[in-house]
Amino acid sequence: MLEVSNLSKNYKSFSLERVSFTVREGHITGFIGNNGAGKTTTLKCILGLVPYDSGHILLGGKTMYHDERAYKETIGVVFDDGYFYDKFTMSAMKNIVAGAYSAWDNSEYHKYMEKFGLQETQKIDTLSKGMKMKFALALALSHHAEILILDEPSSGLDPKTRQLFCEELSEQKKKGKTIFFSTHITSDLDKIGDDIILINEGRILIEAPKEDFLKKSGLQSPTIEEAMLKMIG
Amino acid sequence: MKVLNLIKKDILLAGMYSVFSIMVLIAIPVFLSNQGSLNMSSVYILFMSVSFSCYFLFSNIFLMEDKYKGNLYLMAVPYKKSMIVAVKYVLGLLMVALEVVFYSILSRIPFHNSFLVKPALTFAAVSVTFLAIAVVLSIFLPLYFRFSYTKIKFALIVVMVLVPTWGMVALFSLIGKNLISEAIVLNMGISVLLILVGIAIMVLSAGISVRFLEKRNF
Repeated sequence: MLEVSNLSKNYKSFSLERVSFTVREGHITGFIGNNGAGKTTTLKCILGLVPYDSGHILLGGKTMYHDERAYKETIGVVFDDGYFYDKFTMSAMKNIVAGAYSAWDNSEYHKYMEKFGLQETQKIDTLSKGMKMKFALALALSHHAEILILDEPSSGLDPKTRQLFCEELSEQKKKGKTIFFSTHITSDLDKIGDDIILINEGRILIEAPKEDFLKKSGLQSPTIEEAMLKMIG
Repeated sequence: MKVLNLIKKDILLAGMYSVFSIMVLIAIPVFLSNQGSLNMSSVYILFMSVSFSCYFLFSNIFLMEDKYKGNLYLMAVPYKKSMIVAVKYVLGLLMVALEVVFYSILSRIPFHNSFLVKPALTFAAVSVTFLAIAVVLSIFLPLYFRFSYTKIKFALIVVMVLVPTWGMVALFSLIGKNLISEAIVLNMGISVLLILVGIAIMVLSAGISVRFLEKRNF
């Protein structure tokens, strides 16, 4: 579904170095690593928010540079910080986002807003972190995206909202969606993850199905966090 | 439709300053037209009104966009970068168009044995103002897309406020014209040419803005 090959991006104090991985269709892939490992930079490259120096990104056979619109139509995106215009109501924000997608489905949107208990007349700056995340998820799920790309979606959420969030991602996987999310809270992936990609200091250390990832740590019944810490050293 | 969505977003983002910007388009011509014996030219009144109005509008839109980092979200959804850029230029042109409408209406309202706004609008004045605003927008919009608002806010004041108040007057004085009080007389062909030059400059500038936006790290 998503193929990243030899992706490089140089900053003054940090570099992504020939990052390559594949996200399998219909799977939940966790993109893990410490803070500053390169997770967000990689996601920003995939989303076209950061121009990369070299490499290729293919999403469902499309590249952003050939057809940016078609490429982005297939993605549902959720950011840790939301990046919404906080002074707007959810309804106003939705209208801006909906206008960008040719396949926007208002009935889906209202279904998720009701499911998540959100009132669209409410201003975004009055929402809790959990409510903002639910709203972001409602937007990401309302245009029949093929892949959900989420940047640290569960950080700062209370346990109940995190559970709801994980349940929703599992539900979306059953519908055939591909889910790719970066996180440093690996306990969510212990529950719902299929594949793990570990990045450290701008380099991919390992890319494997969850069971293989855990075995490669050499530990007895480790959690993903324990295996990750062992591999990073 | 998508362009309208983004224009609406900018107007909502500026909030009350959108209303204030429109009030400036009405208040400045009325104020400048009623300065006792000093008769100002329509081109100077038009340029001052649109420049100040655009300054209030854009500075608040940019401030809010920086505050909420909302452009990051917009860049991740299927709005083309060229459309995100084009909206800002369209918004500037919209202010010129609004001012032409307001000026035309105000200059027909009788007031103290004359009219509320004077002198009457001419196509030459509109074309010179259009070119001047096109140049102003074409300078600062690429700067905005290259840098964040906090880095260009002083440049914005220079381009949008100081240029219309002193810069243009000084420029015209070099060719022996008093921009403040002398009416500009141009034939129709030259006026149309000025508008076409303004459009060409903006198209070129928009291309540069798109390139800057593509290269920007969000």
